[in-house]
Amino acid sequence: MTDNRRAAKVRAIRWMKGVLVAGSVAASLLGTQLLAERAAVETPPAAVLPAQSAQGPAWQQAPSRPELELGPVPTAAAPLRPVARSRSSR
Amino acid sequence: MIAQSERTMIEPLTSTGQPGPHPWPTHQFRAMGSQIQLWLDGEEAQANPFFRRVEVLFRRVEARLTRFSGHSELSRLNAQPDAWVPVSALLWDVLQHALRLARETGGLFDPTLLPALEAAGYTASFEELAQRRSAPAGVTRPGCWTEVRLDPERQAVWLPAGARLDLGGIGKGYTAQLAVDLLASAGPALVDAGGDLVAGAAPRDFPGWPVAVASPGGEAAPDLFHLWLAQSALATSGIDYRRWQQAGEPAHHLIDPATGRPAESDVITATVLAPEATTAEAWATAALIAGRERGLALLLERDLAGALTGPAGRTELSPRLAAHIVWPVL
Repeated sequence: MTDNRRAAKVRAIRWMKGVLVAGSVAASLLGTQLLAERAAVETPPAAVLPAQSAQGPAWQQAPSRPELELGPVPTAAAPLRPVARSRSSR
Repeated sequence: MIAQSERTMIEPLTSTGQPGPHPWPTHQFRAMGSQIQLWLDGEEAQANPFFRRVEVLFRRVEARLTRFSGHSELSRLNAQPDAWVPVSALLWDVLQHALRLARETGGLFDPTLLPALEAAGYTASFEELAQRRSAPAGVTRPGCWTEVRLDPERQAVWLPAGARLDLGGIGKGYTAQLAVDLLASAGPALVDAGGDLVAGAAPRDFPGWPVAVASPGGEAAPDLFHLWLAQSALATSGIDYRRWQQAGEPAHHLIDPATGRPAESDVITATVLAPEATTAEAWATAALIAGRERGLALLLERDLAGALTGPAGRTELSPRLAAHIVWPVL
Protein backbone atom coordinates (compact mmCIF):
# COMPACT_ATOMS: atom_id res chain seq x y z
CA MET A 1 0.00 0.00 0.00
CA THR A 2 2.78 2.39 0.97
CA ASP A 3 4.68 1.42 -2.19
CA ASN A 4 1.58 2.09 -4.31
CA ARG A 5 1.14 5.53 -2.72
CA ARG A 6 4.81 6.33 -3.23
CA ALA A 7 4.60 5.27 -6.90
CA ALA A 8 1.48 7.41 -7.42
CA LYS A 9 3.25 10.38 -5.84
CA VAL A 10 6.29 9.95 -8.13
CA ARG A 11 3.98 9.73 -11.21
CA ALA A 12 2.18 12.92 -10.11
CA ILE A 13 5.46 14.78 -9.64
CA ARG A 14 6.71 13.59 -13.06
CA TRP A 15 3.43 14.71 -14.66
CA MET A 16 3.69 18.16 -13.04
CA LYS A 17 7.31 18.49 -14.11
CA GLY A 18 6.29 17.64 -17.69
CA VAL A 19 3.52 20.25 -17.61
CA LEU A 20 5.92 22.89 -16.25
CA VAL A 21 8.61 22.18 -18.90
CA ALA A 22 6.06 22.16 -21.75
CA GLY A 23 4.49 25.38 -20.44
CA SER A 24 7.85 27.04 -20.12
CA VAL A 25 8.83 26.09 -23.69
CA ALA A 26 5.47 27.30 -25.05
CA ALA A 27 5.72 30.61 -23.16
CA SER A 28 9.25 31.13 -24.39
CA LEU A 29 8.23 30.51 -28.03
CA LEU A 30 5.23 32.81 -27.71
CA GLY A 31 7.37 35.56 -26.15
CA THR A 32 9.95 35.30 -28.93
CA GLN A 33 7.23 35.61 -31.55
CA LEU A 34 5.66 38.62 -29.81
CA LEU A 35 9.05 40.33 -29.58
CA ALA A 36 9.70 39.65 -33.28
CA GLU A 37 6.29 41.08 -34.23
CA ARG A 38 6.94 44.18 -32.10
CA ALA A 39 10.38 44.68 -33.66
CA ALA A 40 8.85 44.39 -37.12
CA VAL A 41 6.33 47.11 -36.26
CA GLU A 42 8.90 49.43 -34.65
CA THR A 43 11.51 49.24 -37.43
CA PRO A 44 9.89 49.80 -40.80
CA PRO A 45 11.84 48.27 -43.67
CA ALA A 46 13.74 50.47 -46.08
CA ALA A 47 12.61 50.63 -49.66
CA VAL A 48 15.19 49.75 -52.27
CA LEU A 49 15.71 51.36 -55.62
CA PRO A 50 17.43 49.08 -58.11
CA ALA A 51 20.79 50.17 -59.50
CA GLN A 52 20.30 51.97 -62.80
CA SER A 53 22.48 51.76 -65.85
CA ALA A 54 24.32 54.85 -66.99
CA GLN A 55 22.81 54.93 -70.48
CA GLY A 56 20.39 57.44 -71.91
CA PRO A 57 18.75 60.53 -70.49
CA ALA A 58 17.03 60.14 -67.16
CA TRP A 59 13.46 60.63 -68.31
CA GLN A 60 13.70 58.02 -71.05
CA GLN A 61 14.72 55.25 -68.65
CA ALA A 62 11.96 52.85 -67.73
CA PRO A 63 12.58 52.12 -64.07
CA SER A 64 12.48 48.46 -63.17
CA ARG A 65 10.30 47.34 -60.30
CA PRO A 66 11.64 47.96 -56.80
CA GLU A 67 12.15 45.07 -54.42
CA LEU A 68 9.63 46.34 -51.91
CA GLU A 69 6.26 47.93 -52.44
CA LEU A 70 5.17 50.59 -50.00
CA GLY A 71 1.68 51.87 -49.29
CA PRO A 72 0.03 54.66 -51.31
CA VAL A 73 2.72 56.83 -52.89
CA PRO A 74 2.54 59.74 -55.33
CA THR A 75 3.02 58.76 -58.93
CA ALA A 76 4.05 60.52 -62.11
CA ALA A 77 3.16 59.33 -65.60
CA ALA A 78 6.57 60.46 -66.79
CA PRO A 79 9.68 61.66 -65.02
CA LEU A 80 9.57 65.32 -64.08
CA ARG A 81 11.95 67.63 -65.82
CA PRO A 82 14.04 68.56 -62.80
CA VAL A 83 15.10 72.17 -62.48
CA ALA A 84 17.97 71.20 -60.16
CA ARG A 85 19.76 68.10 -58.92
CA SER A 86 20.97 67.30 -55.44
CA ARG A 87 24.45 65.81 -55.57
CA SER A 88 27.65 65.74 -53.55
CA SER A 89 29.30 69.17 -53.31
CA ARG A 90 30.35 70.66 -56.65
CA MET B 1 7.29 69.54 -46.88
CA ILE B 2 4.63 68.67 -49.40
CA ALA B 3 1.18 68.03 -48.02
CA GLN B 4 -0.46 64.71 -48.90
CA SER B 5 -3.28 66.43 -50.82
CA GLU B 6 -0.82 68.34 -52.96
CA ARG B 7 0.92 65.19 -54.08
CA THR B 8 -2.12 64.19 -56.09
CA MET B 9 -1.69 67.24 -58.34
CA ILE B 10 1.21 65.78 -60.32
CA GLU B 11 0.91 66.38 -64.04
CA PRO B 12 3.35 66.17 -66.92
CA LEU B 13 4.92 69.54 -67.49
CA THR B 14 3.47 69.94 -70.98
CA SER B 15 0.37 68.67 -72.70
CA THR B 16 2.51 66.39 -74.91
CA GLY B 17 4.12 64.78 -71.90
CA GLN B 18 7.50 66.07 -73.05
CA PRO B 19 9.53 68.27 -70.77
CA GLY B 20 9.06 71.94 -71.60
CA PRO B 21 11.22 74.93 -70.72
CA HIS B 22 11.11 76.05 -67.12
CA PRO B 23 9.34 79.40 -66.81
CA TRP B 24 11.31 80.78 -63.88
CA PRO B 25 14.03 83.46 -64.03
CA THR B 26 17.39 82.09 -62.91
CA HIS B 27 20.84 83.39 -62.01
CA GLN B 28 24.12 81.60 -61.28
CA PHE B 29 27.54 82.41 -59.91
CA ARG B 30 30.44 80.75 -58.07
CA ALA B 31 30.90 81.17 -54.33
CA MET B 32 32.13 79.02 -51.43
CA GLY B 33 33.97 76.76 -53.89
CA SER B 34 30.65 75.78 -55.48
CA GLN B 35 28.33 76.65 -58.31
CA ILE B 36 25.33 78.51 -56.90
CA GLN B 37 22.09 78.81 -58.87
CA LEU B 38 18.90 80.65 -57.92
CA TRP B 39 15.37 80.49 -59.28
CA LEU B 40 12.50 82.83 -58.47
CA ASP B 41 8.86 82.45 -59.45
CA GLY B 42 8.29 86.01 -60.63
CA GLU B 43 9.07 88.48 -63.36
CA GLU B 44 12.69 88.76 -64.53
CA ALA B 45 12.88 92.48 -63.82
CA GLN B 46 11.60 91.89 -60.31
CA ALA B 47 13.94 88.94 -59.73
CA ASN B 48 17.25 90.50 -60.82
CA PRO B 49 17.76 92.92 -57.90
CA PHE B 50 17.05 90.06 -55.47
CA PHE B 51 19.49 87.78 -57.29
CA ARG B 52 22.19 90.44 -56.90
CA ARG B 53 21.43 90.76 -53.17
CA VAL B 54 21.77 87.00 -52.74
CA GLU B 55 25.11 87.00 -54.57
CA VAL B 56 26.35 89.71 -52.20
CA LEU B 57 25.02 87.68 -49.25
CA PHE B 58 27.00 84.57 -50.31
CA ARG B 59 30.18 86.61 -50.76
CA ARG B 60 29.83 88.29 -47.36
CA VAL B 61 29.22 85.03 -45.51
CA GLU B 62 32.07 83.36 -47.40
CA ALA B 63 34.43 86.18 -46.43
CA ARG B 64 33.63 85.56 -42.76
CA LEU B 65 33.48 81.76 -42.70
CA THR B 66 36.10 80.59 -45.19
CA ARG B 67 39.01 78.61 -43.80
CA PHE B 68 41.08 79.31 -46.93
CA SER B 69 41.83 82.92 -45.96
CA GLY B 70 43.81 83.81 -42.87
CA HIS B 71 41.84 87.08 -42.70
CA SER B 72 38.40 85.52 -42.27
CA GLU B 73 36.68 85.70 -38.90
CA LEU B 74 36.72 81.89 -38.71
CA SER B 75 40.49 81.74 -39.31
CA ARG B 76 41.07 84.38 -36.63
CA LEU B 77 39.00 82.32 -34.17
CA ASN B 78 40.85 79.14 -35.13
CA ALA B 79 44.15 80.93 -34.50
CA GLN B 80 43.24 81.67 -30.86
CA PRO B 81 42.76 78.36 -29.03
CA ASP B 82 42.45 78.25 -25.27
CA ALA B 83 41.03 81.80 -25.12
CA TRP B 84 37.60 83.44 -25.11
CA VAL B 85 37.05 85.13 -28.48
CA PRO B 86 34.00 87.38 -29.11
CA VAL B 87 32.41 86.55 -32.47
CA SER B 88 29.87 88.09 -34.83
CA ALA B 89 26.18 87.17 -34.72
CA LEU B 90 26.66 85.22 -37.97
CA LEU B 91 29.52 83.03 -36.74
CA TRP B 92 27.76 82.57 -33.40
CA ASP B 93 24.57 81.38 -35.08
CA VAL B 94 26.31 78.99 -37.50
CA LEU B 95 28.38 77.56 -34.66
CA GLN B 96 25.25 77.04 -32.55
CA HIS B 97 23.68 75.09 -35.42
CA ALA B 98 26.87 73.07 -35.89
CA LEU B 99 27.23 72.10 -32.21
CA ARG B 100 23.54 71.24 -31.89
CA LEU B 101 23.83 68.94 -34.92
CA ALA B 102 27.03 67.41 -33.55
CA ARG B 103 25.05 66.52 -30.42
CA GLU B 104 22.06 65.18 -32.37
CA THR B 105 24.22 62.99 -34.64
CA GLY B 106 26.23 61.65 -31.70
CA GLY B 107 29.35 63.34 -33.06
CA LEU B 108 29.17 61.75 -36.52
CA PHE B 109 28.87 65.28 -37.80
CA ASP B 110 31.76 67.13 -36.17
CA PRO B 111 32.67 70.76 -36.98
CA THR B 112 36.04 70.57 -35.19
CA LEU B 113 37.75 68.26 -37.66
CA LEU B 114 39.73 70.86 -39.59
CA PRO B 115 43.13 69.52 -38.42
CA ALA B 116 42.14 66.02 -39.60
CA LEU B 117 40.84 67.40 -42.89
CA GLU B 118 44.15 69.19 -43.46
CA ALA B 119 46.05 66.05 -42.46
CA ALA B 120 44.11 64.28 -45.22
CA GLY B 121 45.41 66.91 -47.65
CA TYR B 122 42.42 69.26 -48.00
CA THR B 123 44.48 72.39 -47.38
CA ALA B 124 43.31 74.56 -50.24
CA SER B 125 40.07 75.16 -52.11
CA PHE B 126 39.10 72.16 -54.18
CA GLU B 127 39.87 74.01 -57.41
CA GLU B 128 43.46 74.62 -56.22
CA LEU B 129 43.75 71.15 -54.77
CA ALA B 130 43.11 69.61 -58.17
CA GLN B 131 46.34 71.28 -59.38
CA ARG B 132 48.46 69.84 -56.57
CA ARG B 133 50.03 66.42 -56.35
CA SER B 134 50.08 66.22 -52.56
CA ALA B 135 49.76 68.44 -49.53
CA PRO B 136 51.54 68.64 -46.18
CA ALA B 137 50.07 66.65 -43.33
CA GLY B 138 48.68 68.46 -40.28
CA VAL B 139 48.00 67.50 -36.69
CA THR B 140 45.04 65.20 -36.14
CA ARG B 141 42.83 65.69 -33.09
CA PRO B 142 39.32 64.60 -34.08
CA GLY B 143 36.15 64.60 -32.05
CA CYS B 144 36.74 67.41 -29.55
CA TRP B 145 33.54 69.30 -30.34
CA THR B 146 32.29 68.50 -26.82
CA GLU B 147 35.07 70.70 -25.40
CA VAL B 148 34.04 73.82 -27.34
CA ARG B 149 32.55 76.36 -24.91
CA LEU B 150 30.11 79.17 -25.67
CA ASP B 151 29.41 82.24 -23.56
CA PRO B 152 26.03 83.65 -24.62
CA GLU B 153 26.44 86.74 -22.42
CA ARG B 154 29.53 87.92 -24.27
CA GLN B 155 28.74 85.98 -27.50
CA ALA B 156 32.21 84.52 -27.18
CA VAL B 157 33.70 81.14 -28.14
CA TRP B 158 36.45 79.13 -26.47
CA LEU B 159 38.20 76.46 -28.54
CA PRO B 160 40.31 73.80 -26.84
CA ALA B 161 43.93 73.51 -27.93
CA GLY B 162 44.20 71.43 -31.11
CA ALA B 163 40.61 72.04 -32.21
CA ARG B 164 39.93 74.17 -35.24
CA LEU B 165 36.58 74.66 -36.93
CA ASP B 166 35.56 73.83 -40.47
CA LEU B 167 32.11 75.27 -41.19
CA GLY B 168 32.31 74.78 -44.97
CA GLY B 169 29.36 72.48 -45.67
CA ILE B 170 27.09 73.72 -42.91
CA GLY B 171 27.97 77.35 -43.69
CA LYS B 172 26.91 76.85 -47.29
CA GLY B 173 23.59 75.28 -46.24
CA TYR B 174 23.04 78.05 -43.70
CA THR B 175 23.62 80.70 -46.39
CA ALA B 176 21.35 78.94 -48.89
CA GLN B 177 18.60 78.96 -46.25
CA LEU B 178 19.17 82.69 -45.65
CA ALA B 179 19.03 83.22 -49.43
CA VAL B 180 15.64 81.49 -49.73
CA ASP B 181 14.33 83.61 -46.88
CA LEU B 182 15.63 86.76 -48.58
CA LEU B 183 14.12 85.79 -51.94
CA ALA B 184 10.81 84.90 -50.28
CA SER B 185 9.90 88.58 -50.09
CA ALA B 186 9.92 88.59 -53.92
CA GLY B 187 8.27 85.21 -54.44
CA PRO B 188 8.70 81.45 -54.19
CA ALA B 189 12.38 80.54 -54.65
CA LEU B 190 14.78 77.66 -55.04
CA VAL B 191 18.52 77.77 -54.29
CA ASP B 192 21.04 75.18 -55.49
CA ALA B 193 24.24 75.61 -53.48
CA GLY B 194 26.67 73.22 -55.13
CA GLY B 195 24.19 70.35 -55.07
CA ASP B 196 22.43 71.19 -51.80
CA LEU B 197 18.90 72.34 -52.64
CA VAL B 198 16.81 74.65 -50.48
CA ALA B 199 13.24 75.54 -51.46
CA GLY B 200 10.84 78.16 -50.24
CA ALA B 201 7.17 78.08 -51.17
CA ALA B 202 6.07 76.08 -54.22
CA PRO B 203 5.94 78.00 -57.49
CA ARG B 204 2.50 78.88 -58.82
CA ASP B 205 0.57 75.96 -60.36
CA PHE B 206 3.08 73.39 -59.09
CA PRO B 207 3.08 71.31 -55.91
CA GLY B 208 6.76 72.15 -55.40
CA TRP B 209 9.98 72.73 -57.30
CA PRO B 210 10.71 69.74 -59.57
CA VAL B 211 14.08 68.40 -58.42
CA ALA B 212 16.12 65.23 -58.74
CA VAL B 213 18.72 63.35 -56.79
CA ALA B 214 21.60 62.56 -59.12
CA SER B 215 23.33 59.21 -59.30
CA PRO B 216 26.86 59.20 -57.87
CA GLY B 217 29.56 59.94 -60.38
CA GLY B 218 29.13 61.24 -63.90
CA GLU B 219 26.56 63.54 -65.38
CA ALA B 220 25.51 60.85 -67.87
CA ALA B 221 24.08 58.55 -65.22
CA PRO B 222 20.30 58.62 -64.89
CA ASP B 223 18.80 60.34 -61.87
CA LEU B 224 18.08 58.20 -58.82
CA PHE B 225 14.67 59.74 -58.25
CA HIS B 226 12.56 62.89 -58.64
CA LEU B 227 10.43 64.77 -56.14
CA TRP B 228 8.67 68.09 -55.59
CA LEU B 229 10.56 70.26 -53.12
CA ALA B 230 8.81 72.99 -51.10
CA GLN B 231 9.62 74.59 -47.73
CA SER B 232 12.42 72.07 -47.21
CA ALA B 233 16.00 71.23 -48.07
CA LEU B 234 17.65 68.30 -49.83
CA ALA B 235 21.35 67.72 -49.17
CA THR B 236 23.66 65.06 -50.54
CA SER B 237 27.04 64.13 -49.09
CA GLY B 238 29.28 61.98 -51.20
CA ILE B 239 32.75 60.62 -51.69
CA ASP B 240 32.28 60.45 -55.47
CA TYR B 241 33.54 63.93 -56.36
CA ARG B 242 35.82 65.71 -53.86
CA ARG B 243 38.61 63.12 -53.99
CA TRP B 244 42.37 63.44 -54.32
CA GLN B 245 45.62 61.57 -53.70
CA GLN B 246 47.44 62.01 -50.39
CA ALA B 247 50.82 60.25 -50.05
CA GLY B 248 49.79 57.90 -52.84
CA GLU B 249 46.52 56.99 -51.14
CA PRO B 250 43.05 58.05 -52.29
CA ALA B 251 41.53 60.60 -49.90
CA HIS B 252 38.28 62.54 -49.64
CA HIS B 253 36.77 65.32 -47.54
CA LEU B 254 34.47 63.36 -45.21
CA ILE B 255 36.44 62.60 -42.07
CA ASP B 256 35.42 59.81 -39.72
CA PRO B 257 35.56 61.38 -36.22
CA ALA B 258 36.45 57.99 -34.75
CA THR B 259 39.67 57.67 -36.76
CA GLY B 260 40.46 61.21 -37.87
CA ARG B 261 40.92 59.86 -41.40
CA PRO B 262 38.73 59.95 -44.53
CA ALA B 263 35.77 57.67 -43.76
CA GLU B 264 36.01 54.14 -45.11
CA SER B 265 32.31 53.91 -45.85
CA ASP B 266 30.32 51.46 -47.97
CA VAL B 267 28.04 54.39 -48.86
CA ILE B 268 28.99 56.50 -51.88
CA THR B 269 26.32 59.17 -51.49
CA ALA B 270 23.83 59.91 -48.72
CA THR B 271 20.86 62.23 -49.27
CA VAL B 272 18.63 63.70 -46.58
CA LEU B 273 15.43 65.73 -46.94
CA ALA B 274 14.77 67.96 -43.91
CA PRO B 275 12.78 71.09 -43.03
CA GLU B 276 15.92 73.23 -43.17
CA ALA B 277 19.32 73.10 -44.80
CA THR B 278 21.79 72.68 -41.93
CA THR B 279 19.89 69.66 -40.61
CA ALA B 280 19.81 68.04 -44.06
CA GLU B 281 23.52 68.75 -44.55
CA ALA B 282 24.64 67.38 -41.16
CA TRP B 283 22.54 64.22 -41.32
CA ALA B 284 23.64 63.45 -44.89
CA THR B 285 27.25 63.63 -43.71
CA ALA B 286 26.50 61.59 -40.57
CA ALA B 287 24.68 58.84 -42.49
CA LEU B 288 27.52 58.50 -44.98
CA ILE B 289 30.18 58.29 -42.28
CA ALA B 290 28.07 55.78 -40.32
CA GLY B 291 28.03 53.41 -43.31
CA ARG B 292 25.14 51.52 -44.86
CA GLU B 293 23.90 49.42 -41.97
CA ARG B 294 24.25 51.95 -39.16
CA GLY B 295 23.32 54.88 -41.41
CA LEU B 296 20.09 53.23 -42.48
CA ALA B 297 19.31 52.29 -38.88
CA LEU B 298 19.83 55.93 -37.84
CA LEU B 299 17.48 57.17 -40.57
CA LEU B 300 14.82 54.63 -39.58
CA GLU B 301 15.16 55.15 -35.82
CA ARG B 302 14.87 58.92 -36.13
CA ASP B 303 12.23 58.78 -38.85
CA LEU B 304 14.40 60.87 -41.15
CA ALA B 305 13.81 61.15 -44.90
CA GLY B 306 17.01 59.79 -46.41
CA ALA B 307 18.57 57.62 -49.10
CA LEU B 308 21.90 55.79 -49.18
CA THR B 309 23.56 54.68 -52.42
CA GLY B 310 26.26 52.03 -52.36
CA PRO B 311 29.13 51.32 -54.75
CA ALA B 312 27.04 49.03 -56.98
CA GLY B 313 24.42 51.75 -57.44
CA ARG B 314 21.90 50.15 -55.09
CA THR B 315 19.88 52.85 -53.33
CA GLU B 316 18.00 52.29 -50.08
CA LEU B 317 15.33 54.75 -49.00
CA SER B 318 13.78 55.38 -45.62
CA PRO B 319 9.97 55.17 -45.78
CA ARG B 320 9.80 58.87 -44.90
CA LEU B 321 11.68 59.76 -48.10
CA ALA B 322 9.94 57.13 -50.24
CA ALA B 323 6.65 58.90 -49.47
CA HIS B 324 7.93 62.03 -51.27
CA ILE B 325 9.22 60.40 -54.43
CA VAL B 326 7.16 60.95 -57.56
CA TRP B 327 9.41 59.07 -60.01
CA PRO B 328 10.16 56.24 -60.38
CA VAL B 329 6.81 54.91 -59.23
CA LEU B 330 7.46 52.76 -56.17
